[in-house]
Amino acid sequence: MGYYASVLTTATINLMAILSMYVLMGLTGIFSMGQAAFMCVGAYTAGMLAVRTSLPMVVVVVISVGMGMLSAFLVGLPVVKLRRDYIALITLGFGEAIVALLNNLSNVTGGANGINGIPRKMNIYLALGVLAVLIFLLLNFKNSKFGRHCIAIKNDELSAAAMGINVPRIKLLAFVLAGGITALSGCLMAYNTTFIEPMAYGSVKSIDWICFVFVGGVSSLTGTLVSGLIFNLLPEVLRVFSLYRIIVQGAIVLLIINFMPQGLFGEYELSDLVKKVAGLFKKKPAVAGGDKQ
Amino acid sequence: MYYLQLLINGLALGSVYSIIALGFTLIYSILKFSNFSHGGIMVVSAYIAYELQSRFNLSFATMMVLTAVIGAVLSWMVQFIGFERLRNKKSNIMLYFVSSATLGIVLQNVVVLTYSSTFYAYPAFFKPPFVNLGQFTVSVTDLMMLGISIVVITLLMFVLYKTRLGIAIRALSMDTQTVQLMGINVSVVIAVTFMMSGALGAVAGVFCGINYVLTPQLNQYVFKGMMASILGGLGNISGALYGGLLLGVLEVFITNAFGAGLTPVFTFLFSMIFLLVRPQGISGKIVLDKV
Repeated sequence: MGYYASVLTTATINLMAILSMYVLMGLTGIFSMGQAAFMCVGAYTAGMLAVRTSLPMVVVVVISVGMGMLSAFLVGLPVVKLRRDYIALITLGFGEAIVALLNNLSNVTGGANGINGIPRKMNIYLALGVLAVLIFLLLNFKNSKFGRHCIAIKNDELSAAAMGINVPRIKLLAFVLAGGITALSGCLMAYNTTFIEPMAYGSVKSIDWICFVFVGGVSSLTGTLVSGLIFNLLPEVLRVFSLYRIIVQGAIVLLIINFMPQGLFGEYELSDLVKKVAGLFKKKPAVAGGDKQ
Repeated sequence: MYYLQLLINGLALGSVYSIIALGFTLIYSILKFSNFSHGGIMVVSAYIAYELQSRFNLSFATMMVLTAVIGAVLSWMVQFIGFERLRNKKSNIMLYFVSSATLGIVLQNVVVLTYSSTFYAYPAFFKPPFVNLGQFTVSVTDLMMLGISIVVITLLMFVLYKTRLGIAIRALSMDTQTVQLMGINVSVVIAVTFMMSGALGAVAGVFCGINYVLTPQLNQYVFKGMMASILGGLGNISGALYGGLLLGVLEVFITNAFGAGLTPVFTFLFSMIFLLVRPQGISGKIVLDKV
């Protein structure tokens, strides 16, 4: 696999994880400071199954996503009824706990050495294909009844509850969904890098993802995708400045938050533009025909 | 007797967690958001304290006071860069989150860039490192931590409950608009609260540095403070105090039983179960959303 293809594959898989952050923050307004831990869960499930058993990749992917959702369910259960801050803090603790667990159960997980020799089964086409399916599903999800409930909760939890939305249930569902997506990306990442270690999934990674989503525009799927792509590819282009990456990134995020709080894209989606353009073409004959409406 | 010894160690550790949790809770109670930049302030002040100490060979007391001042200034700067404009524009609370998390990473990264990830250690401040109190052997660092924490916390409680400033801060934690109508300068009170929180963070940072070793990863200890404030009831000052002590004692006993490596796992499980059983925390009062 060529250099560019490999960079793009990794970026695509990271984008999936960032999409899960979009489900949490952009749609539901939940903060997860330890979302990378679910990536870790997915990656380790996939890694251990792929190395120790001869299950086909599809089965392994399904099991990892299931594990991600299960752990998200267990973590989310006590905190969805409380204020948002509790989810942020508890997921932070979960992230620490997962890393500590993996480091210490060295006979099962390989400890700090991680797991080696996972077969490489990812390529750029497969990654892009999965991402495309995910984007399609999320766009539909955003416009579904459930998605609208989520957006209502993001805007105001109390009024959402007053409108008869079961807030804890929707929050838990969104959290489980996001956990599943993150685990999927972790699983694919394990198949892509062929090597996994626990330290790569700390809270810094989760905070990075939060920043990406906010720069792009927290309410826009398109914005999330664009800024995720930029921030994933930029470090590759500007390798010389890699030391200052976090500081530059922090400066960008602070500027955006202070002067463009809606992010680069606000609430606009690419599909809105497509619809508008399509609408222009559709309306013309209708006006010309003089339809009575 | 052995367990009593563990209890003493746990209380010493817990008092540091309490200081971290108090600094975190002060901000939480007035602005209603989790201040993730607290860890960054802890790390930077601990490194500045190390730098001052090694350059000028200060005494322990001078160093602590200077560090607290530095932490206060730093925290004010963080407030100015990160939250001043957001507050004036009455931004969504989510933006405060992101701003504080970003500032936290940036502060930590400044330390990584300046000192790289090498470990540093403070000089040994206390000449006989251990003292015997009856049947117990207590490290002097632990005793100092406990003592200074008690002094700092008493000072904080005095300010919060006996002075006009304290009344302003506590009123602000209830309702910003009414406080403004009462003729209190909200910006000043918030700035002062940030400075108090920064001073607490700096003291805790130096303690963590003395107790373990000085690394940029020191900001991990802010998570303990956050856990402590969850246990105590988020946004509750006395809750943060008890939560810190509880977490400290708990950690020492868990480490004794299962080893240090797995401690985060058991603390996490404990706090999950605790939240299921008693979500309102030890103190029983947490900040609730109002219409």
